[in-house]
Amino acid sequence: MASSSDSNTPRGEAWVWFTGLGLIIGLGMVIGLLSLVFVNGVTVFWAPPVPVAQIDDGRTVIGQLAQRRIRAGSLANAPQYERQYQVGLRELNGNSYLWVDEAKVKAETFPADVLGLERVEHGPAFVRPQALRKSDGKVIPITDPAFESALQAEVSAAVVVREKFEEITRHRIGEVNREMDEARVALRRAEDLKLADEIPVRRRQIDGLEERFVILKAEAQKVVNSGAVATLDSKDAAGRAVVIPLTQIVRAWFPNRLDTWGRTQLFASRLGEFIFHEPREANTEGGLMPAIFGTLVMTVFMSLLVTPFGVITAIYLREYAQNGPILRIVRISVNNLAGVPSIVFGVFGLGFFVYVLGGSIDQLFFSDQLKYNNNTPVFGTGGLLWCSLTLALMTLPVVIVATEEALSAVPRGMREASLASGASKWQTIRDILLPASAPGILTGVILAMARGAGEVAPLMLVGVVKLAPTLPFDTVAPFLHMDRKFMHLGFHVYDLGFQSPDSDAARPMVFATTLLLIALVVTLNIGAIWIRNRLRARFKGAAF
Amino acid sequence: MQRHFHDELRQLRDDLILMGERALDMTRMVLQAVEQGDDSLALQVRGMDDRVDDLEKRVDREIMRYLTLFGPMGSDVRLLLAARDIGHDLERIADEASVIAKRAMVISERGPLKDLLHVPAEGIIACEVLRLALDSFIEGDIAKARLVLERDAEIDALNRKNYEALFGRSGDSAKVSASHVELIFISKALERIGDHSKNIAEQVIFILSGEDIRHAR
Amino acid sequence: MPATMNPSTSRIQVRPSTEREGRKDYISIRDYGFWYGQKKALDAISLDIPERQVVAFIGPSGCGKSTLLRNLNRMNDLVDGISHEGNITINGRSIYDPGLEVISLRRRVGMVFQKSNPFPKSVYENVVFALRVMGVRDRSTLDEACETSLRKAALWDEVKDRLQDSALGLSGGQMQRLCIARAIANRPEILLMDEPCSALDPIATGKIEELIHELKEQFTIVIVTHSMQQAARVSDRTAFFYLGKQIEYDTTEKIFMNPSQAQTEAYISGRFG
Repeated sequence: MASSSDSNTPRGEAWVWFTGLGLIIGLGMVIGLLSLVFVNGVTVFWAPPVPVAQIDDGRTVIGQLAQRRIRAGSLANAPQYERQYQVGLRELNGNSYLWVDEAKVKAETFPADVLGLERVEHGPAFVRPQALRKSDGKVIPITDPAFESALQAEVSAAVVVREKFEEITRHRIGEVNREMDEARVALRRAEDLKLADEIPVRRRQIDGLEERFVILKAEAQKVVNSGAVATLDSKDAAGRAVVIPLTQIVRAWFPNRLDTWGRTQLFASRLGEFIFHEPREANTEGGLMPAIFGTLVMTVFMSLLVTPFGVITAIYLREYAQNGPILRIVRISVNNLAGVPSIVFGVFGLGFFVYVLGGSIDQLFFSDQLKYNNNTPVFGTGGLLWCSLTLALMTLPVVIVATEEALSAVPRGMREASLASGASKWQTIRDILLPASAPGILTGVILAMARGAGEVAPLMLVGVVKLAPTLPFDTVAPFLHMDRKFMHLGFHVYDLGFQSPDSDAARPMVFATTLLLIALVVTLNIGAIWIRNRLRARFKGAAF
Repeated sequence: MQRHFHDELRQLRDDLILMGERALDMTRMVLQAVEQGDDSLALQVRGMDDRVDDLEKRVDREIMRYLTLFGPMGSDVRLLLAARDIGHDLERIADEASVIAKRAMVISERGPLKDLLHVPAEGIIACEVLRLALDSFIEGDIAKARLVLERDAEIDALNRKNYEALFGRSGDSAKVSASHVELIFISKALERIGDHSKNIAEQVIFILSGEDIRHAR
Repeated sequence: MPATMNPSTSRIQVRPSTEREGRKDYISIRDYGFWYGQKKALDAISLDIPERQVVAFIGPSGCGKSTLLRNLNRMNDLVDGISHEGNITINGRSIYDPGLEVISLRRRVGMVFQKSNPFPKSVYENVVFALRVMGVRDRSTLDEACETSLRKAALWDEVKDRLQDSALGLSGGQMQRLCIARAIANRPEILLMDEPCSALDPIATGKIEELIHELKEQFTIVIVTHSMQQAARVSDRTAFFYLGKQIEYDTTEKIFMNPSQAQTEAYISGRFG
């Protein structure tokens, strides 16, 4: 005792450091994870200079440096590196990526005429252009100072053509197809029920639609033809001639000519495409708009479903239910629900929501659809509604527990004041308890959203797909299509990372998509936190 | 902030003032009775004493009520403590007045007395001093209270002069001499009234300044 | 002669008005006993509370004074496992009358709590809460009730420019007066106060006490307080409880100046225990 009291350091102070260490490790891990995802995700869109590398074996490589790593089998004290170049031109090289021993690289130069191309098919390309053969037959050689502006003008023209083509094929033809499907179902129904009046009407409708289809096809072809003339004559690294039609080009840039501002513009343009456009090339290129939208809509729906359900349940448990063994069992069950693996919810969603509920809905309301459309289910298959419901069920315990805690945290005095004012129990709950516990409830919803938005496994069973032809929201009544399958960022990450045919090309997109998913969850949370803080502001100065 | 029970303190003050005015009235009336040999007036004065006694009891009750119920602090405590003394002094003054009335009746029984020695002058000063003491309480005027302390000496002097005048006299009839002895009692009573006024003034100074100047000098 | 000579014109009678008219047994408690589960909290309480007077309940902690108060508007119904014997009537009608809704009882018996407990709503909404739950929707009625109650609670001048601000931004004393305004907004007949000043500073306490003094013109007030001084200052009658029993009930003056029970004397003079 005496010896320890001599010390200036209080006993047990080391624990402060020890606990602090835990925090630091935790923080370090979070920050490390976020920065890894951020750096890897953001650099995808950045265009660095592209070298022309001379290799010992006589090969020449033009390609963007993708990775550098210690060569397997090299000594630890004298590490040897190898480099991975993204060379593009998959149709010629067989692979977009190429590993090269660093020791074998004789020289790297950065000639100004290296052109980077993003293409509609076959991934990117790095070439040395020779001449631009314009639509009007003029040929502009690379030496012409007007080459670059002419090239960009042709690329823009090609983009316009392609957008027109997309508009016709995807939307207008898609619309005709949809109407055609409906008309065919109606025709079959009419034939089956022998509705003599309707059959010819439907037939005529189908004929009309077929005509429209043919006309649109022709129109689309015309659009394609109008832009199909210009080509870019180039040479690849090996000097082989490569002729690239401009209709194939999405974006073109001279990576070794750009200044920082130019690179920033390019970065912004690519990032914009990533967020606002639809995917191309088996999801490895283009944008993620459908997935972002799908995730957002699904999460919002999930919250809209889980909040009232959870709050009502919690109110009953906390305010009305009699204390006793049954209540205890219910509480324990609810809490345990939070520990059930999410895939189990997926199975439940598939088995109950999709097959039982969805099947019944189809039987009741869409029996014609089933009968005359080759048993194609409407709600009897995975879809937005079932995904939202499944996740709502999964996150229910979070909301219930948070709401119960928020309700019990409302000061007793407030409850008593309300009752003493002559309010009934329900009036007290509605007017006093719920508003006062709203911030706590919202905290639960925030947690539920964070969990739901990032969940993938159960969704794969109940309605998320790799590529959805349509958004769950469009201009066709009833505007919001709860039955449709949709794309989801989390599933997208999984799909890119593990299901992609070209894993090298997909990897950067995995990070970019992850970053986007994190950003989306953070945005949703910030929104909810903002609402919560506005509610809390009403409690300012409260003495509890 | 004005509290509802502060009204009761005002009530107490009013009761004390009322008592004071009654005591002064009695003193004045009894002096008139002495000077004019008016028995009925003297009798009236004796009847007034009970009323003052009642007032004293009421004041005491009010003081006790206030002390128990309203937890007074500061000048309120001084007022309450002093009020008890002031009430007591006023009651004594009223008693002295009725003593004078008794003596006056004894004198008038023996027939009117021509020479009242210095008693009328002493009575005037006693009334003035009492008036001054009451005013110092009513107005909260510490200067007036201090004036009372000074003027008390005038009454004492006149009282002594009454003794000297009595012993200096000769050739009076036994009846007159007996009446003069009564007069000495009256003079003594007036001197007592002066002393009580002085006590009141001391209490007023205590209320106003917190200074306890009793038994000073 | 100064005007003070004439008692009939100069005096204002400010005695506690035991002579204010009204039923002498407005609240009548008869042989009342009360249990929390197996524990008897109140035993054989019998007292009459006259109309429009202030009655204070005093006694040491756990003496049952708050329990009795909270039974007057049946706030104890919220507690599980309670039972009672005897009866309490208000204006002749039992509060346990099966035909009497607890809600309507509470509308007639307002309550102010120890800890000021305004709702996290605007000042205005706090005051009109009781009217809103009664289903009053008419704006002008609500506005009028709001102003009247706040004026009665001596708070109107302080908050009239911020009726729409949060009630939680008020000071402690203002909050408690707001709670009083809220309790009287639907014009109850009785006001129960459970240690309304225990968390307030002396100034705020003084204001509340003055308020109680004014409110007794219209309401019958029952106040539980730990402060004997407060009981002495504000009440007309005082009941002293000890261990769930009613030891003495009399005028406040009698209880504090000359109690008839030795236990009361010991308690008020601080010689208790």
